[in-house]
Amino acid sequence: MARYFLTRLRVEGFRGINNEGEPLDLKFSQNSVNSIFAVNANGKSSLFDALCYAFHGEIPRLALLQAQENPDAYYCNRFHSGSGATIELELAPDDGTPDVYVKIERSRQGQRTVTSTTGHADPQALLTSLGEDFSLLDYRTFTRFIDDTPLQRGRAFSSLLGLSAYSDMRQSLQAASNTTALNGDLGLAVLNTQATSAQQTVQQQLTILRTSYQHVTGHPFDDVGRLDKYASDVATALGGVEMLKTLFDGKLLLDVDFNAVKDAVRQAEGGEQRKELEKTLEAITSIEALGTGDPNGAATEQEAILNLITTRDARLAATRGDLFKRLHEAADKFIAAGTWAEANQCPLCMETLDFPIAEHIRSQLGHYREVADSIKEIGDQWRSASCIQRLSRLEKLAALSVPEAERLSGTLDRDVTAGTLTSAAVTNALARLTTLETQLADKLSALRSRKDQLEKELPQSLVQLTEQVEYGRQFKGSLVAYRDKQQDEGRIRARIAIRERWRNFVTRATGVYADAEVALSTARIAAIDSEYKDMFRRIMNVADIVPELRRDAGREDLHVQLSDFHGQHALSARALLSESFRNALAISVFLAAAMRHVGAPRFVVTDDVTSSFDSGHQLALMELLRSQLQFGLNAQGLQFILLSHDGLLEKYFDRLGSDSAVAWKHHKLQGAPPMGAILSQSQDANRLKTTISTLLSAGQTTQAEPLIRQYLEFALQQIIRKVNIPVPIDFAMKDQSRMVSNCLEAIKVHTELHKSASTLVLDANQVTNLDTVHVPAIVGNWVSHYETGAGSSLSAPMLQGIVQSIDALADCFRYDDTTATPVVRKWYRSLSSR
Amino acid sequence: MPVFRFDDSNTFEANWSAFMVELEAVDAGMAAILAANKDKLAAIVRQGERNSQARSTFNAAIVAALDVLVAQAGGAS
Repeated sequence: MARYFLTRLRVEGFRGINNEGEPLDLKFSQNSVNSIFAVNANGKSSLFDALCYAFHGEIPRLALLQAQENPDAYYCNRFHSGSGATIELELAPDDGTPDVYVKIERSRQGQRTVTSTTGHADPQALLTSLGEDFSLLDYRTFTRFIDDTPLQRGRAFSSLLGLSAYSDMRQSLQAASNTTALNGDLGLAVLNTQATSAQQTVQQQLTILRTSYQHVTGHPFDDVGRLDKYASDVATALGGVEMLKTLFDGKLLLDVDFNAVKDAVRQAEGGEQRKELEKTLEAITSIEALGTGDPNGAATEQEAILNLITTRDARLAATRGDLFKRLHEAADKFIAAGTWAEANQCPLCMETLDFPIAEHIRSQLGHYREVADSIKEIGDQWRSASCIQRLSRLEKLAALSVPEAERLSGTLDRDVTAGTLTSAAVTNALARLTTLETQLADKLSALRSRKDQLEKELPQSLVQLTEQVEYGRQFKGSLVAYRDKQQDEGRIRARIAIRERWRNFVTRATGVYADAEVALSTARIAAIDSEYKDMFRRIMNVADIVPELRRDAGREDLHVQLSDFHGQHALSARALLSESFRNALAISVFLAAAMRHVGAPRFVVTDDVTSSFDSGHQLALMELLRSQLQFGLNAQGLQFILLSHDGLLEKYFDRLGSDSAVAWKHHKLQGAPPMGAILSQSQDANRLKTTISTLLSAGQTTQAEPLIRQYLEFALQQIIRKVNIPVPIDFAMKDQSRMVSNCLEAIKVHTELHKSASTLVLDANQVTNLDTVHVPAIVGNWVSHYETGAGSSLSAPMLQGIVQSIDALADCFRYDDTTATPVVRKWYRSLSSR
Repeated sequence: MPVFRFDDSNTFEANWSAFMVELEAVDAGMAAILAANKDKLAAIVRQGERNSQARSTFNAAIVAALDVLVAQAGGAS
């Protein structure tokens, strides 16, 4: 399988890189370490983002923004007048096959298009294959390894080992199989309550069926599996009575009209007592149909509701009322609309905050969402609680005659819906239920006494028949209710069962996955054991400090220990190692794993990962890359592309990049992002000059000015580098807008020094021109106008004169080498020698 | 049954496919639901950052799929 070097990157209109009509164009050597330096806010991270987008289709830090922050609006450069962004990659396969050219375009509407002018069959698949952990390493991923807890470190470590996709998916599975989250998200608690309630109803109906069957037929009901036969027995028993025969003849029990049956009995013998007996029996059966209450179950349900109310009240305490809620919602909409540019300023009171206002609003609204979740949970629990359903039924029971105005259940239902249900109201409702249960028992007892009394007073045959008919009606009603509730319960149990099945499945899947992932990372750690330790030793130049990575079996935790610390063993690395050592360990692990991995990308792009190293260790790391790991010197090596904003490191990059004997290619980015262009100084000096001339010829002085500044900085730094003029230690770190005068000052100080010592190698004309023509021209026409920001714009001819002064100034530090044929114009070796 | 392990010479996607095959032996119906919702699962943790809303979205999709399965089983019976 071919692996790919990244040999060219062109970017236009993406993030901070405007470069309208003139893409930032960087060529990389596959045989050299490639470095890119830019001061802050000069396009370096935009390049890294461009590669992220090319390979992953997104920029992680934008992908993590909330939708209302409209992250899609920040991919394309906001000052580019074109239709979108363009990223072009040139990839060189390591098997000698032709280079592959891939173009990624993103429209302002977010449409991504990937094409290949070299005819690659599936350029998107190629980009996806290049998006491995080892191809791009940013500072965030790197630093998370350093001081995290063992658990957090274990998670960050996956990226260093090239296993972040595995780690993310394991964490996703663990989040999805978390017991608490599953119970809530799958609604298991509510379903279980519903199932229990349905089951209780089924049992109650079964009890009624037993009793009523026995009353009608005089036989025991002992096999619930024979319900159809028992229904037939009831119909047969009542249909056997001569006066009822026609009403039952040829009918199933469920089809019998019991109102007609009762009318028939009523007509057989009238009288008030008969009617009263019938009504008394109706009342008895209606009470018996309710079954008996369950005080223990009610207490459990009451406790569950009270707990939910306590949680809701605690959450409610974190909020500040409905007016604030509306205020935060309005603020959320206002900020999401994108009209408020001050991220850390309150749009209402204009106070400057230590945190983004959008985060604060999200946090506040989050409290309100938690309250809403609590209210929903209370509602679910309330509506499915058997004791609450029973309270409602008892209050509506005609036999108990509770006046409508005194009924609690309706009022409480409204409180539940409004989210205002209180603990006191719940306690009061349960007390009411207890009272009604007592009244119900008393009422049933009174009704039964009255029934006995009436039965004694009425003719026995019709008394018995009336009773049988009533129980027959009850049997029919309970049979329907029993079957309905049984089906309900079955449906609920089926939903619970399949959710439980999912829970078991996803829990097991998570375990299998986590075991496999731990085994994979443990194997990778073991495989790179000697390599990372060797790299660590080289970078830190120590032999008696040996780090040891250890991953707990079956856990994510990663412990960093010292197997040797100046002769002592098994000590805490976190406690003993300085930041530089810990950084060295992290990068050693990453590089060792990257070198061993054989994936589609044969390049590694790092973004500022060495900034936290001290300078000595930075250099040791660079030497390790250059001499041991870079493809070219190492036939099995990788291509390294290092992005940095470190001023000291830049001097090192610049020196190596200028040395033709060293395999190192250096780029320095300069420009005026995000509105202007960014150019690579080393590559683009001639292009810069051509562009300046074109713009000035067209009278576009405003567009030419930033490019003249770049050209001037490049020329002056080139003189300093070529002639080896010493610069102050803070030279590269000074205010970049003062770079021109910094350079001129360094050149002036050292030419004066050599002049005083009579060692200056420049000829008399060069000294005169330098002192009286070129430097004054640049200072007078540029420094006083632009560095101070006080001057007005100059004309195009005047600016063209500055460019000529720059070239003439540089020529003061060169001479004709007449020993060569033909004569060659060369730089002086130093200010004192050719 | 041998212990499932990822193959270090495979890509993540190839290893995920092997993992799914392993899960089909555990419970084919549930494995199919997991496979159909892989993108929603992957959104729960991205770049090490956990998103609880994405977890709720994933579980809501699972509940919907499970209810369909129950309804189909009810219809079949």
